[in-house]
Amino acid sequence: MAPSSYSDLPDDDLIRLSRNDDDDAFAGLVERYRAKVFSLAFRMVGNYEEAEDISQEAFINAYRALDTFRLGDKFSSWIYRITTNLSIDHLRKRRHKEISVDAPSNPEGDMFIQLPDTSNDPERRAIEAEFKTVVEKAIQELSPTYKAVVVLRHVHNLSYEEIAGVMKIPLGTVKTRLFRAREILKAKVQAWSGDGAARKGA
Amino acid sequence: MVPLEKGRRMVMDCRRARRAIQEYLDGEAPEEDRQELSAHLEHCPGCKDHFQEMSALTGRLASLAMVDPGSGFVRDVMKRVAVEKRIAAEKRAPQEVPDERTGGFKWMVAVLAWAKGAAVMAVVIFAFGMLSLFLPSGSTQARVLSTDPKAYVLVAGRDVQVPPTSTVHGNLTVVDGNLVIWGKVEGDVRIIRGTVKCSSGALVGGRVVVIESPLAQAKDAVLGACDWFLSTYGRLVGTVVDR
Repeated sequence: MAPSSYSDLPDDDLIRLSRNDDDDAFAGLVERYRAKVFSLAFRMVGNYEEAEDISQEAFINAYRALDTFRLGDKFSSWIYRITTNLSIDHLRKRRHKEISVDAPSNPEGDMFIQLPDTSNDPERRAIEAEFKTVVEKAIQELSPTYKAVVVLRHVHNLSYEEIAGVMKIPLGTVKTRLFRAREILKAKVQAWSGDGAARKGA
Repeated sequence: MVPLEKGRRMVMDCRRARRAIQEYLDGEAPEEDRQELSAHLEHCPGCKDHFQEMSALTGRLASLAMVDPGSGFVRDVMKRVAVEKRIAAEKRAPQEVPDERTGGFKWMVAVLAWAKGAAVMAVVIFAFGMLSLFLPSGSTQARVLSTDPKAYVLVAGRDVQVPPTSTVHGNLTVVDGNLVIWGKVEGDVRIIRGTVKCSSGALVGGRVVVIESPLAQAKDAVLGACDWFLSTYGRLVGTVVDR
């Protein structure tokens, strides 16, 4: 979509061009960050369609606010922050839905969560099957803020300081969240693997 | 007695060791912490186990792959960007959208754009343009010319409107059309074969000339048109879209 020359330009130049109505330049930015943004959303919400919606929304939000971006800052941190916030909001809304399903307000109890039908797309099914590994299942059970630091650290390979920049939290908070999150992950993975081993032994 | 601060620095307890293990595995432990940690691990089997387990977990976390949504994703985002731009443009200038609410009447937008052509080309265009302007024709389609390249004028068949919020920064010539001015025209208005009406809010900076019979007033009209042409290097535009 974007001419190949755009792939050599630094982020700041693409942003400047985008501000001047150069759509190919913005497409270049989307191209550059699509996998990172989508992976962040996907690891956060654990569902292909929802991740697609969130990452599209993230880029559109960035497009709308492009004039407020401070050149010289990292575009990656900015777009990660937007994506993380959208994902956390999404997870919180979903949790509210789940709570209301647990205690249906009407006698029919007709409030079911609509699970998207992914059964007829083999590629998506494969990706979601891969998700079912023990570690990933454990990640999905983390609270949204813990999940975010784990994903940014391990999927996106960010340093503590970069994570602090993305989430706008102090360095100490990043460390504490990361340590607690991984203690929880370790305990869960051990418990589930232990169950499996016990069943195999029996 | 060793001061507490110093004591804590020298002897790493298990609680600090567990944090240090994670920092170490993240590649973020400072050198002195690394030394203290290895000293601690040497005689603490519990933390050594913890180290192994954390190391295994970190390895599994590191193997979490990126997922690429594919190039169709970029296309979808850019489609939405196009929608965003349209919405932004409508907010900036709501009058620049053909108004569908005016009954079944479809106003077409005449986009008056020009190109900087060579003088020779302009003269040729001028000659043909002038010729076609004064040839009697049963045209049902008005032609609009303006010295303002960005003039915003609505054209539908023989009906031509300068919308209330529109300002033509220059002269406006309508051939074979009935002009209604709601907005402003800063220059002259010329009507060749047609009528002109002005609303109460309309403003015309220059003269309004209606040339009903081109043969009778040909000289005047040609001179006026030449004047207009020379002052604008022959921007004969008047692109009229019709269905």
